[in-house]
Amino acid sequence: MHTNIKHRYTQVKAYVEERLTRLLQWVEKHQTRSFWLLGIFYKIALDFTYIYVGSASYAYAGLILSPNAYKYILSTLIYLLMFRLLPKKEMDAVAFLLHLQFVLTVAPMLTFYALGDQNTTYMMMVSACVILQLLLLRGEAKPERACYIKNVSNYMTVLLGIAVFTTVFVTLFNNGFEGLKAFDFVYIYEMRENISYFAGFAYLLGWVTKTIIPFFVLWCLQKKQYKLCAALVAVEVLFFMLTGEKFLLFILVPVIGIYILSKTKHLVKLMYAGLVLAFLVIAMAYYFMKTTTVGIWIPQLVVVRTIFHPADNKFNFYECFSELPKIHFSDGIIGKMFGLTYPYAGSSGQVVYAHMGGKFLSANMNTGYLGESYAQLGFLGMLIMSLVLAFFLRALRCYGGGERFSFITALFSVYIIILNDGALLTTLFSGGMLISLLLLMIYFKKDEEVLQNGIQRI
Amino acid sequence: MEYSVFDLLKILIRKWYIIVAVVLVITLLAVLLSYHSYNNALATYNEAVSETVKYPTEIGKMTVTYHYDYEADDSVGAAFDALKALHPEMELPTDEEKFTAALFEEKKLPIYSSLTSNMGAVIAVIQGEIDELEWQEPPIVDKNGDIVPYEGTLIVSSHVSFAPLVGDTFQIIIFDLDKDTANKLLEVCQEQFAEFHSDDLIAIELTQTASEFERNPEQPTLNAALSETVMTKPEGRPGIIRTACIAAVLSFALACVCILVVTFVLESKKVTRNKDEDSQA
Repeated sequence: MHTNIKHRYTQVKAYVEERLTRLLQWVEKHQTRSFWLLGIFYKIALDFTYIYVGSASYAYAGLILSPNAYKYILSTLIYLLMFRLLPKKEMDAVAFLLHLQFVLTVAPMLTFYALGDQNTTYMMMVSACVILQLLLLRGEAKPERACYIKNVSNYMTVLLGIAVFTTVFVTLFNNGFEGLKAFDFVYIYEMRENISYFAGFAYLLGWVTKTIIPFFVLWCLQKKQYKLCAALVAVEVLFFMLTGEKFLLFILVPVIGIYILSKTKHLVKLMYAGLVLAFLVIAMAYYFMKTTTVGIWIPQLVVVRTIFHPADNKFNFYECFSELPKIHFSDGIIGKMFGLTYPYAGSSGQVVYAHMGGKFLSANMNTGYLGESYAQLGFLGMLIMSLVLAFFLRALRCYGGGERFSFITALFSVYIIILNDGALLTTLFSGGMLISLLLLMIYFKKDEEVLQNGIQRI
Repeated sequence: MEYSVFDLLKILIRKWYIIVAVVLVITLLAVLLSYHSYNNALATYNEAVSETVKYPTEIGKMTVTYHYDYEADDSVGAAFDALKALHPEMELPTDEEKFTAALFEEKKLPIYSSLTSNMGAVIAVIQGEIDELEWQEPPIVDKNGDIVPYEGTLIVSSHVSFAPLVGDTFQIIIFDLDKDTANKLLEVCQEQFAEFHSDDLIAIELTQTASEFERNPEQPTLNAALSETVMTKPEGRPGIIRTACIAAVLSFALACVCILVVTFVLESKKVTRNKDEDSQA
């Protein structure tokens, strides 16, 4: 009997492998066609999910269902045009990041625009900015243009190591340790209310947790140093328990997940296929397990919080700052540099929350860079930020390819995810996106594909 | 292209004059801009919080005071009958001849007060007249202060009230209408009021003694109310020295980064050009 089961298993395995091989051969032979098929399936899955899950569960908070035929046709045409311009290739970090921005930020906005009857002017502005980015990034990578900083990686590793340890101890001393209580997602809000840091430390903490640790986790994976990798993951979880920042608990999931999946050489297609499948599963979970925690929590987290709520917020930012005065970068580092006066009594997210009818200063409405840049300088602000991101990705493209592809894709995908909910300048500076690029320049070498060891063996 | 830390420092030191120029320019710009930004923020704040609803015509409250009298038929006897009909509870002499003119004057007052107790019925009558005339409600104001035409007949109870009687005077108050419409509505009210309370025995006389039209105070728009909540009035002009110091430090960092980026870009273009030339050769 045991032999029978083993024999049956071998048969099934061979069958599945044969089918997968044929599928992969077909996909590799028809790259463009498979991209288009996945793109269309994604569009259908997104619309379906909005109607039957997103709007069904969250209409009271903004995800209304008010389809407009003209807007639906327009949004579909824009979707197809953008998909046409998106690079249809694998093993290209920037191509993946553009697709990631498309599936996470732009496509949900197009769906929400059409099915929620949102503002056409703003949707056109967003489309123009994204199309401009796609046009600027159409060329081939030029690795000879990459810049490297040599002979400093050892010192940097020591310095960063000290920074990590120092940050752990200072955070522990400042915040105390809540232990397993931190995994109570209601209690963490109470935790965060009582936390405050001395001047500048919040920046260091952000860089350590969102840049340095993910960078070295990937470095360890690249060098197959799994024990050190596990230790760094544990440090990140420790930081979550010290700060209550949910993002720190989840940040390494996409980082490691994307790193592993990128080894398949079909990362972009897997992303589309995975998202389509995920939406189907979520829709089924919602419908068949609606009264259970899983049936409520998963659609809320994935569909609402990650996909459609940020899209809604961007339109809300547009509505608010079309009526109220623009910020003109007075709230950030540019404002500090030029001594600009910030006109509001709270952050832009708090202003938008009040504009939507909420109590001022009681909650913050996050938005991605396409919404935040409109609040800064209108359409001009959106264009500037889109160009800044495009030029950043052009610079990043020089470092990609070969063995580096998995590393760069996994590292910078986090920032594209952050940009769905955060401002670009904030992500570049305090978010650590620029520091990540700096670390690439330090740790990569010109003539070598792989990362160098940061520390010489003593 | 590869650079060591010393290479980067050398690049920056060689371009020291650009760094100094950028720092000076940005510092000066910051000092000037900070003043301009402060004044602009103050003006924007004042403008935003003082935005009021602009009506197409002046809307206000018209208060008209009347001396109220009624005239009975020529004979005191008719007045006597009218009083008995309206106020059967009133103590009147049984003998009609004893119902003198003086007594009649004394007894008028309760009649006045009774006439203000059924104003709802009066307003219903006026509404009927307005419906026949097909007068429209004035436009409403939306949250942005935009005037939106309202489709519907004028609702009298929303615009007319009668002030309680004091002695032999009372008031008709018409509110939230422009002066012309208020005057027209007043005429209808006056006419219908008198007619409603007149009958075969008595005729109501209204003599206007005072009239006043008071314009409604300007209403802030909802945007103005929101601006007052979310915006903050700039406290004071930023200090020059503090602004200059912050600008100098940040512009120094910016200048260094820009010089390095420009150097990288120029060098990389040179490398690409050389590579293209080599491949062509």
